[in-house]
Parts: sequence; structure tokens; C-alpha cells
Amino acid sequence: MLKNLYLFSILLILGLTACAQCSVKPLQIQSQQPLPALAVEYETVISFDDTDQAQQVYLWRFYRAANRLETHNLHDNSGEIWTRSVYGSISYQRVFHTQQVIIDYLPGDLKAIGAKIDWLALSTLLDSDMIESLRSDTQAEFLGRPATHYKNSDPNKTIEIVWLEQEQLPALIRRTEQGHTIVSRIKTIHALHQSPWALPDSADYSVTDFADLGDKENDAVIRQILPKLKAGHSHAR
Amino acid sequence: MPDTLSFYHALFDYGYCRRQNVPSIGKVFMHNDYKLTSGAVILAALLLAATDSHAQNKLETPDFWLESGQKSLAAAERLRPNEGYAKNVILFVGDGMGISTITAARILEGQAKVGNRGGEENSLSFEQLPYLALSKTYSVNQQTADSAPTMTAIISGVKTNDGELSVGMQVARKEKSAEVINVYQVKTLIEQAEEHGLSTGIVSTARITHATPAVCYAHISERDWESDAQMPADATVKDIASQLIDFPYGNGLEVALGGGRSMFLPNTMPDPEDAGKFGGRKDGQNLTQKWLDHYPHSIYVYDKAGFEAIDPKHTDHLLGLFERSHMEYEYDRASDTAGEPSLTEMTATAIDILAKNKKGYVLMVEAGRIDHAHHAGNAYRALTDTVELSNAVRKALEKTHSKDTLIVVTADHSHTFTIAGYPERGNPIMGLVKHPGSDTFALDQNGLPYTTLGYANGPGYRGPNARPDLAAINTAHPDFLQEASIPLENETHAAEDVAIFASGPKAHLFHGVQEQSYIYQVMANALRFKPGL
Repeated sequence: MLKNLYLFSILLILGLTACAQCSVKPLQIQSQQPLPALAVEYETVISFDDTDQAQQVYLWRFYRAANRLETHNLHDNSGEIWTRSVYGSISYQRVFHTQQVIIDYLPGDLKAIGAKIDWLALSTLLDSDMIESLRSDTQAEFLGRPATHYKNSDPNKTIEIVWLEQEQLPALIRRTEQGHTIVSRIKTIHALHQSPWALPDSADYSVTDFADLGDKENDAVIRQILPKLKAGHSHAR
Repeated sequence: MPDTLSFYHALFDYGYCRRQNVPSIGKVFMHNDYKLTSGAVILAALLLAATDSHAQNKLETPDFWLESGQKSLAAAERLRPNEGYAKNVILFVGDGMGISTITAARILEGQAKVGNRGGEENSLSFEQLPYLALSKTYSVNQQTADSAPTMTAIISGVKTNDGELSVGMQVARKEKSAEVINVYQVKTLIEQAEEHGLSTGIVSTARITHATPAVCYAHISERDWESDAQMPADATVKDIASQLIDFPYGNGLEVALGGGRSMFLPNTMPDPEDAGKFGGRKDGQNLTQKWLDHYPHSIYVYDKAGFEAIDPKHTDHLLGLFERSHMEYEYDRASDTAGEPSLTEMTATAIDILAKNKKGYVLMVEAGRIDHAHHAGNAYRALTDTVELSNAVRKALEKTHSKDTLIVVTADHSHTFTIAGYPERGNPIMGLVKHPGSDTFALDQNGLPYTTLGYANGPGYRGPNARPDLAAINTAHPDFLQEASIPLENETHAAEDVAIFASGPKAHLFHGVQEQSYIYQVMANALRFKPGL
């Protein structure tokens, strides 16, 4: 009798474990094949536990192609362009549409400021640390598209995302930490070739190398945009 | 409200958003932790144990110092000024190579040598040249100058305003009139050399149209006017790239090697190295083709393979443009897509071509990216580019004779780079300060370790919170950004004097503390040129 009970218990535990494994899955990105080319409009809302602080709302667009990613912040009419060469090296441009200025970061410049670029993270808006922390809990639907809900298990830094399985992109990212919450949510999504928005045309903009910024102390336009640029950053805050 | 970036590792960098009021995806996906793994810690400890500076420095007895001092004194007494005139002049410029940069590069190189006594005793090649002076780098209008007026002073003997190339101080910045420029342009040593029938060459790891190299051949009121695309529509002065190709003195430049290909190619022409990128010129001109059409026995190359195929004996005019913009830092050069020559290799080839002229030559060689690495707050790349400049000078010394070749090594200006604390002998120059005899790192007032190298300002500022704990950070990582005291997006130039090292004919005239424009006077004197004519 005891032996049967023991066997039953073992089977029950194994069964429960298997069940848990089948329902709680880590997020896996289909990185082996080109991600779908998309044009997406996101809304990002930053809210604070301290109600005296006003909520901040931003609209921005994300254009994803196989070897080119572009964002366009509608708030200040600026953006970023990431380009991957056939050799795998990645270049970055900060684009200021109002001023018609591009700051060009060559691969060597990115290395010199300690920037190690993860193309998959840029393409999916999720970095590897975040992906590793996420486990699925429920199936969902977002804008009529099949999706999966994921969340992490850190109570001090909660992250949840709604992942569009076919589009390989988060429809929603919510992070709560240290008295504030950031929520980014897709408002509209299109195949890139059916985008209702024309990609910002920056072909005729003035281009300045990041490496040359140190000699532009007398350039009024550069002085104006300099605080917004991606320079070096710390590693141990 | 949180005031750090620490919470934002996912989609938006809140601190970044807060500063800019915009979202950004990029900054999030850049990591530079450089944390030491336990294996790396053990390896570092073993390496430190293996290079016990205390054991090595037991050699440095009083007798050792007195004996080595006697040798140096004897060498100084044997030194005889070379009163003759120079057939050749080679000017090396380390852009932004202040004295602290030279010292740190000397130690970095020295610590990699077998049997070093800590690395501090090392000398870069040009530090062994017999004559030395200091150079005051201020420009006509700025206490701390940029490369345009400082290089104008070096190569023409005339100080001018910031941002202006080989024109007098009477010219206003961004003056568009060719007539005005022609009235006030000042003649450069390169132009004089061509008029005297010498060969001339310009080598740089920056764009060949960048301020320092451009000063040698171009006269313009704005350093940024490198191609027609940057010029005002109503300007009558030619852009810098066009001035290089249309150089009107003698039989034209014999050698121009560097970066800046986009300034020479039309915007309809695909770049030969970077797929999807194009030239930058809007006037439709392919200036590389113009070079080939203009000069007999001329060559244009854009990659390492092309460079290595050059036959100096049969090449009279060489144009090499190895990047769309600046060439790679020396540390990153090996990973360049199409490959590119080192500064040393370019110097050697330039000398081989120029030395065919029996009358002699003038060559300017710039290590242009020391400055860029400092602006980025990245000491490692600044120092490795300085070591490469030292290699290039060594190669030039090997290929020439001090009897007829004046070699000058200097900088256009300095940077806010510092070597500080009281590290023990042999302490890794890229590392954290450790006091003599201590097993632990020296600590600041908050109990945190700090690096020997740092900047007075720049992107390495870690505030406004307390300094980070660097104990577990690999500060010797090439991508580590040294800490800075004042937050600036770009580290700045500094105003203190820079060094002038020299050997060869008239090198003894470099002495004392001189105006930067004096460098030209000595070089012109060595070549028997009348200053300014």
C-alpha cells in the first residue's frame, strides 16, 4: 500500500512538472529567419507613483527591414537609423529632421564609446537579459493577432510583455520599478511595404561624423543637439 | 523620481528620455560591463605576481642611477649640432598628443616588453630624438585651440583663428569669397617645397581633407567645407577635396594617403568598400578619376590589397583613400572590412615614392585619431594610436639619414587627459591605482578605487550619483571609458604646451619654450626657404 502511494506520488509530481513545463515557456525568438518587415506605431506612457508628477506620453514609429531599423520620434521629430552591412558590421545614425542633421556613428566610433550592439535586441526591442527572465503564462490576442503574454518573477522590477508570435515583436511592454511604470504599446502595425507613413527622407541632410563632434564647439546647430547625442556611457551605475 | 538609468534595461532608457523628452531604442542595447570573471581575476593576479615590480626594481640601486646618468651625460656631450641644411623634412603630428598622452603611451608600450622594470623606463621612438622644445598652442582668437589654426602655425609660420586653414587672421570664419581668401592666404611649407622642385606627401589616419592634413594644401575659412556638399551655394572658394586635386604648386602632391573617400566621390557612385553607401559630392565629380587623369604615372587605391600592390618605383603620384571617413583606430584596424594599411606602412611607402626625387622631399604624417579617441574618452585607443605613431617615426628613422633629413615630431594641441594618484612602479597603466607595497587598491574618500588615467571632462562622467565601484571592472578593456570630472558629451582639447622632438639638420634650433609658429621657421630654415615666400 505504501509502495503504491509512493509510486502514485512520484507519478503525480512528474505529471505536474511536465504540465508546468508545457504551460510556462521562455520567450524564444525566431532568429534563424529574417524577421518580418514592419512599420509600427507605438505609444509610450511613463507614469509615476508620485501623483504630483505628470504622466509623459510619446508617440514613435518603428520601421524594421532585414538590415535596416529606423525609429521616428514624433514628439521632437528626431530618430535613429541602424544599418547592418553584408559583413555584419553595424552603423548607427542619429537623425534630427527639424534641423536636417545626421550624426553618423561608424562601427569604430561605436566601439570607441564602448557600445556593443545586439542586432536581434534592436530588431525585437528586447535585450537578452530581459528575454531570459520572461516566462509565458497565457495566450492572448492583440489587435486581432495571436499573441502570448509573458512576465518575469522579480517583484522589485516587474516586466510583462505581449508578444506577437507571427510578427516577432512585442505588442506591449510594461516595466514597473522604483516608483514609475513605463508602458509601450502598439497603436497600429503594418507590413513595411504597406506602411501608411513615408519613411523620413534624410538623403539631403547635413552629415557629421560622431568622431568630429569634438571639433564642433562653435557650431550652433551641433551645440543645440549635442545634449541629445549618444556619447559614452557608464558601466557601473 | 529616479535619477539613475539603472532601472531601464528594457525598452526605454528613462534617464535618457528625461534628458531628451524622447524615447530611444538604441542606448538600451549597448553593454559595456567589462566585469572581470573569476577566471580573469585569477589570471590578472597571476600576471601581477609574475611581473613583480619590486623584484625588478631591485636593479635600480644608487649605482644604477649614477651609472645610467653618466651614460646619458656622455651622450649629451657627444651631441653635435647638425649645422647643415636638410634635403628632406618629415613632420610627424600626433593630433591631440599632449605630454600626458606620450607618457602613458610610453608606459603602456613598456609594460608589454619582456624584462621591463615596470614600463615607466620605456621611451617611445621619438622620445629618443636629441632635441626638444615646448610649443605654445594658443590661436589668434582662442586660448585653447583646435587643429586648424595650430597646424596652420606649424606648417606656415602664421597663427590664425580657430577653424580656419592657412589663411591670415584677417579672414572671417566662413568667408565665402575666393578673392578674399586669395588676398590673405599664407603659404605652406608643402607649397614652398613644390615650388622648389621637391616632392611632397601627406599621410593621415584621419580624412585627408580633415583640418590637420588639409592645412598643408588648402586655403579656406571653414574646416568643415571638405567637399562641395558642405559648401554654401554662393561660395566661390573651392572645397578642400577639390583644392587637393587642383593643387597648383610645382608638379602637384606626390603622395596623399588617408581616409575621406566620400569627399572625392559623387553621391551617385557606390562606395567600393561599404555596400549601400555612396560618395558625398553633389557636383557629380569623381575626384579620384580626376587625380588619375591629371597626373602621369598615378595610382588611386582604396584598400589594403591595392596598397600592397603599389610599386613605388613606377608610381609618381599616389592617392590612397582607405575609408569613406576616418581610417580605423590602430586597435580596430585588423577588423576593417576591406583592410587598410597602418600608419607605419603608409609612411614607409610615402618615403619610398618621395625619395626618388634627388632634390628631396617634404612629408607630413599625422596620427589623426589620437584626438578622436580622447574626445570619446577612450584612453586605450588614444594610447595605441600614439604607439603606432612611434612605430611610424621609427620606420622613418630607419629609412632616412639624420645627416640630410630633419625629422620633427610634435602635436597640434593637448587634451584634458591626466595620469594621477600614486600608483606603485609597474602598476598597469590602464588599471586601478595601487599604492606601493599595498595588496589592495587605493580608495577615494567614499571607499571606492579609482583609475590612474582620467579626464578633466568628457563622456566618462559617472555622476550625478556617487562614483561607481570599479573593483570588479576590467578598466584595461579597450572599450572602457575613463572617468571624467565634468560631464560633457565630448572631451575637450587642453591649452597646455605640447612637445617638439627633433633630429637632423637644424634640429638643435628647437630649444626652450617657443610659439608654435616657430616650428615652421626651423623647417623652412633647414630647407633654405625664405619664410612666407
